[in-house]
Amino acid sequence: MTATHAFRSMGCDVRMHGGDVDAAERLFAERDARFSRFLAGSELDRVNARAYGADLLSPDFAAMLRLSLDAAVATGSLVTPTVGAALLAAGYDRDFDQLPADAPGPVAPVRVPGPDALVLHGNLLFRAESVVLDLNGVVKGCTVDDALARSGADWVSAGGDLATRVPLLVEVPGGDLVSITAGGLATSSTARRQWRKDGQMQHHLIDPRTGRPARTRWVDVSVAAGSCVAADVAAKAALLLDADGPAWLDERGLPGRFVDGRGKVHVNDAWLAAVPLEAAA
Amino acid sequence: MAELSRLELARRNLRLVRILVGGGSVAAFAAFVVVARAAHPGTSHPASRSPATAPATPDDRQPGGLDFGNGAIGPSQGGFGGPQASSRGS
Repeated sequence: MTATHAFRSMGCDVRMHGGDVDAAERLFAERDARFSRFLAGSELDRVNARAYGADLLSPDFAAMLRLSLDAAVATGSLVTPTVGAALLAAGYDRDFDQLPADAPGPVAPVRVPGPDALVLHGNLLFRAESVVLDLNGVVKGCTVDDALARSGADWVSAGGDLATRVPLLVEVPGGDLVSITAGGLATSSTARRQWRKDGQMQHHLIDPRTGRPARTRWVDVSVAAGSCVAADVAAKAALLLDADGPAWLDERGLPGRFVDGRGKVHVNDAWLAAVPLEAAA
Repeated sequence: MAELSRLELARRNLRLVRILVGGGSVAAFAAFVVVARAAHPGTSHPASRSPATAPATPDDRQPGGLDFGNGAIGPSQGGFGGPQASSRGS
């Protein structure tokens, strides 16, 4: 019987079923070391140390940045790699586990540069203005997809985002179960990574239109898509879009499940078509 | 004499700066040409992989947008047994 393995990386629990565990752990460790905002000596740390001008990137970094720019295009710049300064201003300036219970100082809104402030040509990055990068919008989801492909596992999940090549049952927020047969399922949540700054609750999902943690009616948004990174990007965008999130997903044929601040579950038309209410109950 | 020495010293420093700046510019330009040439699509050689084994590896993706694909979910009555994974948010 194939075992389910678990390990910790990128600040979350990673689980996988079957496959080459060492290959998956190695990939997660490599990506964490390269893309961590808080690890001194990471490539992201080096790139952000001088947040403008020209930089020569590693091929892996350039590819991930290209993917994040593609995500920005696909979401009308809602999911963008240019939110690093806004995250810092909100107080997310160290590993989540090390954040103080309530950091002093008010949260000042920060203008989030558009993705066109970044010009990526091959492995060369040009920034005409100061842009602090944060690639968390895509790194974890992409690494789940890549771990699935490279390890040969049946499925891989990391902190609520998963990719599979076999049918499996997945528990979504609120305790409901759905089946997924291929692709990815991801849940973005404002309730998972929360902290206080100046007495105000903050979370890690920055709305680039305001430069602050998003104010949205949704606490959890789960989306199924062709891959884990696609599901994760779509879930983030739908959460940021507030009331327009369900329709935005429907326009793209993506099933979405929303939990509001009172714990009530809403689903969009695509989710309802795939998971009829009586079956989801 | 002391004034001349200071003047001469300043001239030497200026020459040194010009050399360094000029040399640095040449080196930077040369590096840019080499890197830009290597990065040009016409001269780059990405590793090829089977689509079946690398569906979302960023190295394999072509620029031009994120493909959301289709979600393959359904009701839980599939006979797969109990929950095998969770998607509880991140």
